[in-house]
Amino acid sequence: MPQERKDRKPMRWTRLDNAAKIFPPTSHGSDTGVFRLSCELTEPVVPATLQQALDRTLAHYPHLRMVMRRGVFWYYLEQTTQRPLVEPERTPPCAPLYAGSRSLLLRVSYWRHKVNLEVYHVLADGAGAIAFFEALMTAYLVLCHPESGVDEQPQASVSQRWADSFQKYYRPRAGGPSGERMGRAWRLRGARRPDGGLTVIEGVADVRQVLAAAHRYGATLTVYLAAVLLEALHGEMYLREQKRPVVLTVPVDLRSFFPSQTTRNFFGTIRVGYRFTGQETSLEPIVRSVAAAFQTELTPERLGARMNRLAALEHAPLLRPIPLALKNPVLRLAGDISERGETATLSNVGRFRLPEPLHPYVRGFGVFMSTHALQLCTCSFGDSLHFGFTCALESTEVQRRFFQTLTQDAIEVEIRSNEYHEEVHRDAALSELPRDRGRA
Amino acid sequence: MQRCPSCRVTVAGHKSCCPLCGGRLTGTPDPASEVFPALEKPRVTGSLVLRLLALLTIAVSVVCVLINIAQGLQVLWSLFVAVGAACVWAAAAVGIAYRRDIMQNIGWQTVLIPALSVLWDRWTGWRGWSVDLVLPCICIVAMAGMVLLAVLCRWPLRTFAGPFTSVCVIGLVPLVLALCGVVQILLPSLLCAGASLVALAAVLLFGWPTIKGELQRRFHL
Repeated sequence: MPQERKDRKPMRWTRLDNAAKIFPPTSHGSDTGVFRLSCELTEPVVPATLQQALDRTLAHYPHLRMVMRRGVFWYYLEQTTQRPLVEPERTPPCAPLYAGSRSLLLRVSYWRHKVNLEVYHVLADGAGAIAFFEALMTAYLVLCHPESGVDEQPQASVSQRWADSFQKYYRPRAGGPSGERMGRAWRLRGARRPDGGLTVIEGVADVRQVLAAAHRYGATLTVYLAAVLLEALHGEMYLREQKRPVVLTVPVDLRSFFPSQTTRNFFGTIRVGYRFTGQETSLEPIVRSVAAAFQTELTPERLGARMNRLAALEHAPLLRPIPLALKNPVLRLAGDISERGETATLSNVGRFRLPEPLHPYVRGFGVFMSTHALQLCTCSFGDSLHFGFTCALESTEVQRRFFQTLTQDAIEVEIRSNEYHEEVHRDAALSELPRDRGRA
Repeated sequence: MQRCPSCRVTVAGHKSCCPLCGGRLTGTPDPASEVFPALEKPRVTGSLVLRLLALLTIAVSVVCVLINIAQGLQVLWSLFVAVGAACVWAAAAVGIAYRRDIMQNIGWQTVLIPALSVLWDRWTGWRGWSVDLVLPCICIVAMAGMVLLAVLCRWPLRTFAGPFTSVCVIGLVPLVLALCGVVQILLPSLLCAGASLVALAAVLLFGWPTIKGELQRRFHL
């Protein structure tokens, strides 16, 4: 609040978009609704320069300097004059960001060669945050290396980037029939982490090797990875549980189907399932089934119909005047019921792009998303493909099976994890961060 | 770099075992390739303070109930202690929940404390002290506190328009109760109503665009 005293102008505010409305009531435990984008550089991060780059970039993205406040009927976003400060990485990946009406909804942190941007999903989706993160890293690297001669400005205007595309493309009574329901999905079971956090396993592979493996099955990269994940999940099922389908939720960037340059949420989801009873359990038939499901679901008509069905709920005249205190438990229950239909989530956020002269300073990018169960986020930069596994359970069997299939398909994988720190190394790491204390 | 022969993957950093299978690693550790820092355990959180307070409340209540039983149960004084401790805990919970926003904190305490007082008053045979004294005094203190904080910290109206207007509106309740004949000691209620009316008038006259904007945001459908 002290920073706000200088600015006495009225602050802009906006409603939460259709997809954002579900996050505040359903964000709890390990599912904080926060996702992390990280960028690994070839040189140690200079905090002062990163702060300068953040200030410059935010000047082009004023709509990301927001706090979330409670209204009587809905939450809303309000601009703030608070200045986000870069900080050493002190929290686990995807730690909560919203802690009241004064909390900024993004956090920029650094550790050694790595810069992290964490965003509460209410503010932006993956594609929107990527646009901001690319701009931030470009600004930072240009400040560090002015000789690169790069001078990039965002292409879209602020109003284009702040548009609510769900409202723009919503057509009342155009919901259409929902697709075939798969019923209750098989759910991962096992002990949750005692600290209530996430187990993070990061894999890095050569995108050409993964593409070659996918092409051997006649599949695209996402279809291949979805099939490998389904097979890895199947390895965890008891025989008696196999009557239930294993279902992946796959977020889809609607900007590919409906022209939009917004950085706010504009995504839909499709569900891809496989029933292992009475069907072959090898990878080829799973790939065929997943490819068929993608072909059916990934059409503007199907995605548009689903988008309209969800938007119609928000516009329902009887639901809108219900006070937020009553809406929240209902939305949370709806979220819990929806979660029963999914086993895990696979999100391919696509390719990170930076100006060519800056490529030598960047090793790669990564993405992680908070989850109540298990989520795999993939992204690529140059020739490196990044797998970001987050899991609320202690067991890493699904991740092990997933990477085992990849290595069996002649893909070399490097694993990084936030677990099992060797004592010697921990002491070394602590000496670099005087404020941090190690965790056994 | 380390390698897990079982999973056939390389492992970054300096790990004691494979993050995937927990098996033994071969090769030379490369601490420089670590990408996650070793993190400190969470410091004292609001929820921990609340749980400690809850434990203290329960401990005090249990001790008092046991002493009460040992003394004989002619007077149930321990029940008063237990309910009182629960009320203190509820006020502390609201204080911790809104610890980052002092104005909202004051606003919610202005609702909670009079509400609990009315319940106490009713439970102990309605003498009217809750509406005669507690409600108007709490409203006056809350309004004065908010104005003082805003002046000292030079906070613009938009940062506390919602809670301040709400406290002013709650401050009109003693007037309504006085008109209905519920209030026996008039002075605090009249002072509270007067202060609320003047504060509301000042806010509406000098901060109408802010109040209008706040109403639009808070009540948008």
